[in-house]
This record gives sequence, structure tokens and C-alpha cells, in this order.
Amino acid sequence: MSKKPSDINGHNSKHKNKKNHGRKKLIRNIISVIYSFLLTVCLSIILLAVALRFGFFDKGMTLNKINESDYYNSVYAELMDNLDTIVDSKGVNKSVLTDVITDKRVYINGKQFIENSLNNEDTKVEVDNIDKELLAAMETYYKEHNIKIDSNIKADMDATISAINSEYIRMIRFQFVDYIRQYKNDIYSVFKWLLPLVSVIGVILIILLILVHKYPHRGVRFIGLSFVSSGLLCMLMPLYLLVEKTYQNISTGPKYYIQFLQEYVQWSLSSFVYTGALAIMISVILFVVMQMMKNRIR
Amino acid sequence: MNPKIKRTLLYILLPVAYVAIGYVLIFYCGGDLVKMVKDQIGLAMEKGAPDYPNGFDESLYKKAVENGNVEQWSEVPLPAINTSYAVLLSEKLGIEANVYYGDTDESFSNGVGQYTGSGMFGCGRPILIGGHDTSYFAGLEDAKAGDTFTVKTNYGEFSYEVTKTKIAKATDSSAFDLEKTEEQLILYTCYPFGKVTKEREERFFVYAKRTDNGPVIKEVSDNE
Repeated sequence: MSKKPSDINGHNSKHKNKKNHGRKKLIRNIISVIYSFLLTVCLSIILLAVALRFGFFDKGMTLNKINESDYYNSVYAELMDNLDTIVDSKGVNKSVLTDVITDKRVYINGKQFIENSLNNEDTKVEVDNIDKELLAAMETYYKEHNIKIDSNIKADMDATISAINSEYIRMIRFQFVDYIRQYKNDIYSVFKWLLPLVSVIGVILIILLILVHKYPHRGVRFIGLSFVSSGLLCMLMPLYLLVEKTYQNISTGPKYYIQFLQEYVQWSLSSFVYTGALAIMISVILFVVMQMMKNRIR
Repeated sequence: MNPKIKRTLLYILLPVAYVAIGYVLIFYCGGDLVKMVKDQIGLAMEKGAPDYPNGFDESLYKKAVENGNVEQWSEVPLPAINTSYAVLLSEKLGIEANVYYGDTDESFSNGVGQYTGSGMFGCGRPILIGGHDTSYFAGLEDAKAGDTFTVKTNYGEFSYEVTKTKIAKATDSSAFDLEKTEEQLILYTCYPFGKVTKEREERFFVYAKRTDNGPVIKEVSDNE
């Protein structure tokens, strides 16, 4: 039976509607892909901030890694070697250092420097009358050995004390921690305005992704995909570096410093992996929610 | 294509595409930033080592000149003994010498040596530096009032102008006063000049006052 003209027109309009509907769906998907990518960028920036906060810039972790590397004892040993060389070159007896430069003093001053640096406070090294104690120790030594302190010996004493003070401060100042503090301040000054901005943009993109689709669960799907992507972006490269153990190629400085750096870098890279994994977990939750929303429609 | 297969591909292809584009953006478009970050990390690891001697670094000097001399004692990178941590220059006198912290034979062989009992550049105290008249301080012979010196360090640049010269015995402690609370560059070398075979008991001193407008860094002891 041939179709009536009205039937043909109806069939044609149905076909046109289907075509229009297909085109609209394509445009919605393209827009969603774009929004989803932009949301991925925003989420990646947020994840980067989180990973840095709990990794490279985590004060507690840094202090733990310093303690684990036996830093203070090692600095004390190295400092004493250097000071022995200084007093030897000045013709002063090493015994003057014995009760003045102690491991306890190095620990207190060193820890204070590191904590002050990480807290963004004044990083003056507390020298606690080292120069006065050294002077007293030297005067006692010369007195005990019946050596008269003339102007030449006085000049040598001053030079020695000055050199010891300078070397003490130099070794106490853990410059690496100071560098981390500087970088943290620089990066946080950018995050101060960047994080609120990307958060607002992210929220707007999430709302748009839900609104652009007839069924909200489709928008939630794209949001979930953004979380997966940002999680992978955050974790893949650090995971590769961890697996390849590239941090074990660090070879600058003394052994205790290398040990500290390796553990510090390893933890910091791990924080990126954990942060990325968290984002992926959130995406799994979103996919579950999406499925529940979809089932409700049915 | 089956819608389920389509959706599954979407779950795989879209994240892969986003990650790929993301890494392309980071490493190719943001290549300079990545390199800068890598360099900074390397710098922090190398120069942050507890035993880093803080030798003179041209890049740190340029950064200090750009940002202005440091103002706090805690920002002054203290050099290890026998480390060349500054450069002393006088174009007129033909002097260009590495300044070593410590006046040892090794320092004098490779440059000029700073007496460790004197102050650091920029810290408002006298700085006593010696050198051989047969090498790095050969030009000191012609020094007179008005001549200028420039000192480059990792924490700033400092300028000095000669105020006077003096000949004194090597053992004459009145030739300089290191307890002064005023910055003074005191350079000395053996006198008479050039006589290498004879034991020389005198020294030629050149005194210079600071002339740049940079801040005075206070060597604050924590008891003050």
C-alpha cells in the first residue's frame, strides 16, 4: 500500500526532527567535552596545590625526614672536623672547643633554625655567648700553660673566635630548608588568587555541565571523567619517577644530606600519587551516583 | 556501534585524550617553566647542602644587584674557610682578585685573603684584606686618595673610595682598628714593593671608605 501524502510529510518531519535532535546532541557533547577539559585543568591546579601542601611544603614531614637522617649528629661531627682545622691553622689547642661547641648546642640551634625557617620566622642563629665562652676557654688554656696573652695572641684569639662563629653559623643554617621556604612563599602568593579563581570557574563549569544536558546524569558523567583525568594528570609522572627511583640519583653533598633529600623527594612524589588516587576515588563515587540517577529515570 | 561499547570507549578515550593534551601543554608549551622549576630544584639541592661553601657565584651576584643588596645578616651566605666568596676590582689600578675567606698561604696564592677577625662586606665594620704585591696586589703600589674599588659578592655589590695610604711595620697593631663601628676597607701588602728575596718587615696599607648607598647589614648577635 503506498503512503498517503500526509503520511509522507509526517515521515519527513520525523526524519528532520531526528536529524536536528542528533545535531543538538552532538553539539551538547562537544560543549560537554570542552567544559570537561576546562574542569580537568581547574581540578588539576587544585590537586597540585593539595599535593604540594602535603608533600614538598609539609612542615611536619620535613622535620621528620630531617630527624630520620640523623641530621643534627652528622652536622655536629662535620662541624667539629671543620673547627679542628680552623683552630689547628691558628695554632690554638682543640681542647678550647670541648665544652663550648657541643652536640646539644648544635641540636638546639639547628632545630630552632629549621623550625623558624619553616614557620617563616626570623632565622637568626642563636649563638648563645659562644664567643664569650670561647674567649674564656682560650684565656684559661693560656693561663694554665703560662702563656702570656700579648697583642699577637689576642689578635689570633679574635680571628679564631670570629672564624669559629662564622663556621658554626654556616653549618647550623640548613639552607635547603630556607630555599623551600622561599619557594613556598612565592608559590603560595600565586595560589592566593589562583585557587579561588579556579574554584569559582570549576563550580560554574560543573553547573553548566549539568544544565547543558537534558538528563543531569550525563553531566555527572563528564564531571566524573574530569576527576579521573585530573587524578591521572596529577599522579602519572610522579608515579613514573617513583617506580624508576630517579630520586636515588641525587649525589650532591654529604651522605646524611643525600639520605634526607632522597626520603624527602620520595615522600613528596608519593603525596602527588595519593592526591591523584583521591581524585580517582571521587570519580568512582560520581559514576556510582550517575548510575543511580540513571536508574531513577528508568 | 553498540551504545554500551561507545560509552565504554568514552570512559577510556576521553581521560587519555585529556591527560595527553595536559602533558603536551605542560612539557611543550610550558617547557620553559618546567626547565626553570627543574633548575631551581637543582639549585636548592646543591646550594642547600649543609657543607656548601658559598663560593662566589656570578648568577647570585647578578640576582643581588637586580634585587638590591641584602639587608639582614641571616641572608648573608657565610663562606667556608679558604673559599673564594667575592671579587675585588679596581679598573684604574688593574686589580681583579678573588677574595678568600681566611688569610692563609693558599688564599694568597690564588687571590687575596680576608682576615677572619674582620667584618664582612656591607656589615658596617672594618674589613682587612692582604695580598702579595708580586701578584694580585701589584697595582696597590699606585693607590692614592680618590681611587675606587668595587666588590662583588653573592649578596650584593659594594663600592669603596680610598681615603689614605700608610706604611707601617707588620707588627704595628695601631695600623688598623678592627673594633671600629664604621665600614672601612683596609688592603695591605708587603713593602718595599717587589723585593721578593728580602724579608720585608713593613706593610703598605690602603684605607677606603664605603661609598655605595646600600643598607648596612647588622651582624646581630642574639644577645643584643
